[in-house]
Amino acid sequence: MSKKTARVALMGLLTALMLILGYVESRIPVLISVPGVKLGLSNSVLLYALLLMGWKEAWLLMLTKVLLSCLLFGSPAVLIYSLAGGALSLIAMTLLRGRLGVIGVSAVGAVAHNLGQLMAAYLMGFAPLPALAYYFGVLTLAALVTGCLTGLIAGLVMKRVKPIG
Amino acid sequence: MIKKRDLLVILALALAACALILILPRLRPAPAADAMYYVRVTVNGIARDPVALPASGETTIELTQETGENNVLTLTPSGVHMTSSSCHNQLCVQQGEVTPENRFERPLQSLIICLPNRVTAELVTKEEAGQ
Repeated sequence: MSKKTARVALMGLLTALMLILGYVESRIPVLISVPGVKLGLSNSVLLYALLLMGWKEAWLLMLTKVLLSCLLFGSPAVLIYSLAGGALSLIAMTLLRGRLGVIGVSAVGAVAHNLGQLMAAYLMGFAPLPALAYYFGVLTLAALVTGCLTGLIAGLVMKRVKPIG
Repeated sequence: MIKKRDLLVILALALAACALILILPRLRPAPAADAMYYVRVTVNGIARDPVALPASGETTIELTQETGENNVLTLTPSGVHMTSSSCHNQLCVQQGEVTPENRFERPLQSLIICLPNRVTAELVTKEEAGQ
C-alpha cells in the first residue's frame, strides 16, 4: 500500500471515529443542566492528528467532522457555533503545540472552543455580554476538567498507537 | 504528557474563571426592592416584547416556530421557568426557575437557554427591559 493510500485510509478512519465519538457522547446524560458542557471526546482524536500527523491533517479533520456532524445530527444554526468553536480551539492548539504537554494543549483548546462558541453567540445576538461573560467563567471551569481528561486519553493513545503512512 | 508549565496554565485559567464568577455578580447595581420584573424572550436571536410577571396566578407563553420547535414558558409572581420543550436534551426545563433573588447566582444568570431550539428567556427589571 502506498504511503498516500495509507494516509487517506487513516484520515477516513479518524473522521469516522470523531463522528462516532460525538454521537456516543450526545447519548451520555450530562450531570449539570448547563447547556454547552460536554466531554468533547472527539477532541482526543483531533489532538492525536495535530500532534502526530500535522496541522493540515488536523484542520481537514476538524472541518470534515463539523460539516458532516451538522449534516447528520444538526442544523445550519449549529454549524456556525461548531465552526467558531472548532476553529478557535484548533488555532490555540496549533500555536501551543510543542510549547505545552498534551494535557495542557487539550485544556486550553477546550477553553478556546467555548470562547469561540460564545463569541458566535454574542455576535448573533443570542444573549447579552455580562451574562455570557459569567457563563464563560462557568464553562471554563468545566472545560479545564474535560480538557484534561480528553488530553489524558489522547496522550495514552499516542504512546501506544502510531499513525501509519 | 503533562509538564509543569501545563499545570501553571491550567491553574491560571481556573483562577481567572473563578474571579469572573465571583466578581461579575457584584458589579450589577442592586434593583429597587419594589422593582417590577419582566421576561424578555428571544427566538432565533429576534427579541419579542417583554412580558411582565403576573401579580397573581400564572401566564404561559407558548413559542411555536415554523420549523416545528415548541417551547412553553410559565410566568408566576415569583419568577419564570420553562415548562416544556420539544428539544432533545431538555436542559432548558432542568434549568429551573429564574427569580429576582437567584438571577445573579445561577450559572446562566438571569437566562434560561434552549440551545437546540434557539430560544432564550431572561428575567429583567423594568429599567433593564427599557420599558
